[in-house]
Amino acid sequence: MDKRFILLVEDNPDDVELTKRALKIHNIANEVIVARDGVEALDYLFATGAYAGRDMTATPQLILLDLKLPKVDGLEVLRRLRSDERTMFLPVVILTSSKEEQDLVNGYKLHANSYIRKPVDFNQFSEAVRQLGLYWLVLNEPMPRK
Amino acid sequence: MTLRKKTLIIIGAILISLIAILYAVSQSILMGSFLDLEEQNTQKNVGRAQNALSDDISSLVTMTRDWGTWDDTYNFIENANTEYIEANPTDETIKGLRVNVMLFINSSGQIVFSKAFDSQKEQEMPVPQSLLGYISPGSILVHHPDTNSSVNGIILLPEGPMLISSEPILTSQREGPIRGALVWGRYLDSAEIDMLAKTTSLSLTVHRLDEPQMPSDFAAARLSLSGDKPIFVHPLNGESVAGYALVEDIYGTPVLMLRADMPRSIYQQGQSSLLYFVSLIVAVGLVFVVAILLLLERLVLSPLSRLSASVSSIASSGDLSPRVLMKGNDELARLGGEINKMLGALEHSHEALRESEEKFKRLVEDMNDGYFVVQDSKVVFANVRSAEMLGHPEAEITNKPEEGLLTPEVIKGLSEMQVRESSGEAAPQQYEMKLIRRDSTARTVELGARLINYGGRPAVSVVMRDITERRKAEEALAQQAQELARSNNELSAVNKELEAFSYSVSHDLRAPLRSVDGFSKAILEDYADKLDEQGKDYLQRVRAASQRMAQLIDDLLNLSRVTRSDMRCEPVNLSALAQTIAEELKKTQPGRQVEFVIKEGLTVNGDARLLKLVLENLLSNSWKFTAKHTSARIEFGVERPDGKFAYFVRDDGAGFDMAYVEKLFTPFQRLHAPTEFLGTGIGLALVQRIIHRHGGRVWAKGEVEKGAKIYFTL
Repeated sequence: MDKRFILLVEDNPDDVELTKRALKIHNIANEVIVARDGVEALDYLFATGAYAGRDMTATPQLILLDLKLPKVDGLEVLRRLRSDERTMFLPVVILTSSKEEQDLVNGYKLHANSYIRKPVDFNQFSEAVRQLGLYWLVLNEPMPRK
Repeated sequence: MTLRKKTLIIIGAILISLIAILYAVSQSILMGSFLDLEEQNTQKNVGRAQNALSDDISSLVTMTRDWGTWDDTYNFIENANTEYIEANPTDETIKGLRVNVMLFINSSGQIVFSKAFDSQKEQEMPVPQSLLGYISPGSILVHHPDTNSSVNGIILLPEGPMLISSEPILTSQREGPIRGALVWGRYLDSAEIDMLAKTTSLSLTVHRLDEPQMPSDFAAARLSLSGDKPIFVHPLNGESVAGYALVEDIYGTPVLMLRADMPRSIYQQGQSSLLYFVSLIVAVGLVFVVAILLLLERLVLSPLSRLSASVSSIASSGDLSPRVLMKGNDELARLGGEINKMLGALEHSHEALRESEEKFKRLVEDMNDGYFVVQDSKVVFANVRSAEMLGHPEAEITNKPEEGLLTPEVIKGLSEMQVRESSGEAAPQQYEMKLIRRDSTARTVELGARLINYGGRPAVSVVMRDITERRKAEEALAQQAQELARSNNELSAVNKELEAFSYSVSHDLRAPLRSVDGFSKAILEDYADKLDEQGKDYLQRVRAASQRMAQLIDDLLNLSRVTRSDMRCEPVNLSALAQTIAEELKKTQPGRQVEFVIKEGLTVNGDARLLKLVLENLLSNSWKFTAKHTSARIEFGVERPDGKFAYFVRDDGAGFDMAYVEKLFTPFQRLHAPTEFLGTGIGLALVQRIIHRHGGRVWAKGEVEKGAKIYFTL
């Protein structure tokens, strides 16, 4: 069986904690792998740098991607994912505080699967995470592996 | 050629040809009939001559018969008694009878007695031998078959033609038997012919046909005469006409030709009639021509030359005020009137031209720009200002060569312009040059050149404008523009900073709030048992405050975004937008009793997204502030208080105190406590910014608990 894990790309430890909490509340037990910046996310996905030697066939079932990240920002991470054959079909949900039109447009231009603005109200945030988990981890059929 | 001469020539020519034609026609018709008459008359006269000859012969016959039918003669033939000879054919008798030959022939054909008499010499002569040749037994002159037989006529003898008569010799009772024939002859000599001519009053000539040499007119007549045309008429000259007829001998053979000459009185009569006729016509024609010329002169030519003289005197004087004087009501008088009208119009336009010329002269002389015309490298016209500008000592540069006045570049440009434009190329027409004036100040002038026609030849007209001040102003303007660009750059840098700020506000300020809220919730959930009610309430307040702050941040961002975003103007159907928003609002609280009254068909020009925000804010405000009433009415419509469309949203909700109306549109200023109505106080501030960006105005009317009415124009 494949590991059905989530890759959470997020630099704010509070948001990491809150996201994990929301997942837990809604009994989403999938493993959450956290990348703290864009470089780490890319290293993990392409098994380079600190993650060299990682099994590349283990791909996340869902990537939750923040846009404002140290080193390499979220949109650049997305662009690199989409331009590589191995990762181009991975479901990526942009999860960010920004509601700037430009960010939305660029996100969709780079073929983000979804764009969610993190609500300040935890109740709403938690609900959003629940729906995300239900949709992408349960309902959605991912691209078959080779 | 003058009209007078032309008329004279034309009328004269017409008259002459008419007379010529008339003369020719009457000549041929009139003279033809006169000639016919003349011919008939001539024929008649010839007939008379012939009759006279016949009468002459008849008288001879009568005498012959008288003698032949007489017993004495009857007896004489038998017995040849000398008494008879002595008593009867004496010389006297013969002379009296005008007989030249007498032959008494018996029935056997023998001449019993003969006597010949020369009437000129008045003596007896021998009987001509040639005549005796006609006398033989059985010849028609000798043998008479019965008592009534008679032979007479003419015979041609070598001596001359002779009238001859032969009668049978009978008794006095004209009884036979015939004892022979009595033959008398009379020479048709000149005397005889004269006598005939006298009787007929004609000039007669007789010609023998057996002569080889015949006069030419006789020969021509001989050829023309025939059985059908017994008489030939031929005019000899203008004075006389001749008629010709043949005379036959006793055998029926033509032997003589008779010519009767007579004066051409008929013809001459015709000629003179014709002459009178033509003279009359010429006279009438001359009278006609003179009358026409006089009339023409009086009615047309002399008024015309008066008119022409006065027109040319006006033309040569150059003064258009005099008028031509033409009396009467004929065409010429009308022409004079038209000429006067034309002169009036000409004078008027002349005056207008003069005024316009004066105006343009003033313009050229008074204008602040220099104006001059260059032709063949020389200034041919210049105003005073151009001399001033070019710094010429005399205030006059006309007829000066362009060298020394203009810079070499401009001179070259102007001459090239002529060449290039004449070959159809476009050429630069604007030049600039620097001038150093006598007070050694530098001026910049701009020259606008155009090709013109001056005095019938190509030239260049140049308008010269002092642009020194303009150049300075332009330089200052350029500097300002540069400064403006710089401050613009600064402004856009500031704007970028603002955008970065907004971005980080939206992202960075919200993240901590999310932590505050999220972890407060976590405490409330995970550590509820360790908190009393007041602690829980405090954490709830922390959460509420953080959420409110997030709302404030969002509103602030919206407000700045509205100010920054680009506008796209297009027709927007406000009524449809309001309808959609109303439907959405109803869905949020389906239980409420709210009536929306939306006027149909309100369309404006503006940015659709921003105008939707306006309506959203206004309608949701109304929705919000009517929440405490059991039923409500929200209206969107339009009024035209001062001719401009003022759109409004009205409700009958909480309303407001007009004392605070100015605070309504200030961001984050609220007239109600959050406990009464939720909100951050940004909505109307947002509306005002959007309306201002559309160049419109927004204002409000309201009363506490009666409702509010927000107007906007676009």
